[in-house]
This record gives sequence, structure tokens and C-alpha cells, in this order.
Amino acid sequence: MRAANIDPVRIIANEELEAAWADKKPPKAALDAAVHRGNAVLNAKPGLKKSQPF
Amino acid sequence: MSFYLRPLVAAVGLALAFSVQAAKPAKSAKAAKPAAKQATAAAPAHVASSDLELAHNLGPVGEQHLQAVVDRFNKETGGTMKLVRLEKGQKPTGLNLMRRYDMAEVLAHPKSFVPLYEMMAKAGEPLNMSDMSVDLKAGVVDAKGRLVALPLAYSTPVLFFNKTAFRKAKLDPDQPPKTWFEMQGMLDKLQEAGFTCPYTTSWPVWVHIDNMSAVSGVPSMTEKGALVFNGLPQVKHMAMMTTWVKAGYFKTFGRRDEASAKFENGECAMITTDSREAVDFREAKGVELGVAPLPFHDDVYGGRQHTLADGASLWAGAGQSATQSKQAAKFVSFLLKPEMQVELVRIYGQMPLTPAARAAARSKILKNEDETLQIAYASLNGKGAEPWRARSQHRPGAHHRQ
Repeated sequence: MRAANIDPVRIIANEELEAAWADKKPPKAALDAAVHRGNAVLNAKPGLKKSQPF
Repeated sequence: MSFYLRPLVAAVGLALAFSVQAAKPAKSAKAAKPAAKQATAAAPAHVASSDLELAHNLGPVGEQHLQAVVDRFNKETGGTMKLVRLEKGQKPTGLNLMRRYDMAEVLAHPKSFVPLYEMMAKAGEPLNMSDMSVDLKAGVVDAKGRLVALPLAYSTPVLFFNKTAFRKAKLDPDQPPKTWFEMQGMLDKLQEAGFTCPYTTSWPVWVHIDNMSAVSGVPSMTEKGALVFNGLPQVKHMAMMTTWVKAGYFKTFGRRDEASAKFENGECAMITTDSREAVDFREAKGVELGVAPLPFHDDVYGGRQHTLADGASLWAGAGQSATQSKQAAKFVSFLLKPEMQVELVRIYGQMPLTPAARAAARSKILKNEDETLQIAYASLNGKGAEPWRARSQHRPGAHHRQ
């Protein structure tokens, strides 16, 4: 499974990457936030963790 | 970004078209007209509603190429398959060419689909995929290793570089960077030579999180599906990229493949993006295309690991008649023929599915694309890493994997 393939996770990761690259957030804080926010979404919708429907 | 004869900028390419089109207003499903009738004298008459449909969300040029494939199939087999558009939120039809990207919700419903192996078995069509590259099976096999969809248009991230730019910066065009650290010095020289965009990337999350993690041997997600891409290798990488942004070495243009157009027009000297984009870059003016494996960090424990393959795959929809399923299975067999695989490689630049198709492609595609394919395969197998692995293991103080 890839983070980029889960739409809401990818959107979150993009936001955090952009924050780090724009120097708005330290890189570690940005990655920690992306993981934390992304896992919250995945825990609420565990079906998104499956890499294929079967 | 262009496609084959490059009449489009930015909106084509398989991967690309998938994403761009999803944001556009729905086009009539009847927009794509099949041209099958004349060749079907021997085939039984079909009423329109029983025709097999192939849904896609490609851009206009991608659609044109896919239509040609469908026409050829209909002509050769007396089929009546129709091309239709797949829009977001729409129910899958007989066959669906889609990328997980943007379609995660649709693919979360097993009842909407039939596993590919099951459809092929019922139709009595062979599916000998045991020799298919394991790397291409990501997201298309079930727990028992059976193929549930056809990974038709997969590729893997590589580093493309403009040899003309390298020469201008007095860099050896035959020596692309192997590591991110080595790349930094080159970016400095490119900047000195006047390049305002020494390096850029398309698909930032896919390249800089998923693949960077995989190459470092620390996957971005656990097997249970928890995100874990905030480890030391990833934080170090992100910190390095941040300094590159500040130094003007690294420019970003968007979340998808916006950057690809900036490499194609010569503005950016290097780009990390999917290997299939070699077909889009091949005719770029002022760009002499070079390709290399995705760089790695040589201070990460264990040396360079492999990259990941992904792309569009073909899914069989549920609720089809026996006739429709049979024709769908026939179409899958048709796509697997080496000559069709080569044709698709030429058009899309994706990785051929079988060794036979791989071998056939070698002699029939352009040198650039062949080189890209070889690098992509080596990158996936981890073979491109071997010369460097030994070196990194001998480096003192290099072991700081968490």
C-alpha cells in the first residue's frame, strides 16, 4: 500500500510537504503532522487501507 | 508533457490524463464512437445495450489511442466493444481502466468488480501470469496471489536529466548523480550556469514519500496500513529538500505532473517522475534526454533498495452477461499478446507485462525508451543498487536506521 494512492492521505501529505518546503514548518514537524493526520483518517475509514477490493 | 506525437501539453499521458480529466466536467459517454460494425459480418448481431463497454478517463489523445486499440480488437475478433468515459462517482462497467489515484473510493467496493482470474477462467481464456514481474503485481493480486486486475500501464519513478544542460554546466552527461548528496553539487553547478530550476519533481508524495522511503528500505506504510513515513531517513530527506528549496536548487510546481512541462520546455535541468514519461519527453526541443535510477541516500543502513511500480490497471466490472464477460476476457488476452504490448509501450511508455513482450519491445521502441525501461526494471529489482550497496556498508557511522 502506498500513501500516494489513498486520496485523503495524499492530500494531507501534499499540504505538509508544501508547508515544509515553504519553510512554514520544520521538516520533522511536517512529516509528524502528515502521519498523525493521515492515520486519523485511516482509522476512521479503515476500508481505505486495502490496496485492492478483494 | 505530450503524448506520442505530442499535440497536447500537460494534459495527456496515461497517469496524467487520469488525474486531469477527473476534474473536468463529464463528457457524454457516447463521445467515443466504436467503428466495429463493418468488420463483424461473421459475428452475431448485438443490441446496443448488450455490448461490452470499456470505461476510461483519459485525455483526448489518450482516448484516441485507446479507441484505435479497441477498433483493432473489434476488427480482429469480430467484437463489438465500445469505449465510454468513466466519471468520478460512476458505477464501473464491463471493463474499467483506472488508476487507484483518484479512484480509491470506487475500488473500495468488491461487489462492483469481478476478479480478473475468475473472469478469465469462466471464459476459458488462459492467464499465465506466473512469469510476470512481481514488481508489477502491486495492488492487483489477492491474498492468495491471484491476479484480480491487469496492471496494464505501470511505471516507476526515475531521474530524467537534460544532457544539454549538463554540458552547459560543464558536467559529464554520462555521469548522472547516484546519490542525493552527489546531486547537490551538480545542482549548484547548474545554477551557476544560469539554470533557475536545476531540479523539480512531479507527483511529490509518490516520489518523495513512497518511493524515497522504499529506496531507503523503510516503507511509508506498515503491512497493517499505518502511515510511518516520519522516520529518520524521511526526516533527513525532507530537511535536505527544504535546504534545496531555499538555495533555489529545487523548484516545485504542483501536486501532480505540472513540473513535467517545465522539464520538457528546458526550464528545469532534472526531474524525478514516472518512467513512462520518457515517451512524452522524447521530442522535447532543446532536451537531450538522459535517464538514471532515482537517487538514494548512501548513509542509510543497507544501501539502495528498490523503487515501486504503479499506474493504471484494468478491472472487470460485476453484473455482466456471459457474452460480455467472454468478450472482456478475449480483450485481456488480446492485450497480452507481445505485439499489442509493444504497441502500448510505444504509446504510453509503461512496462511490458511479460518477458516475451519485454524482449519484443527492446528492438522495436526508440533507444531512449528502451534505456528508460531497462533502468526502470533494474530499479524495481534492486539490481541498480548492487554496485553502491557494498560501498555504503563500508562507511563508518552510516548506520542510523531506526
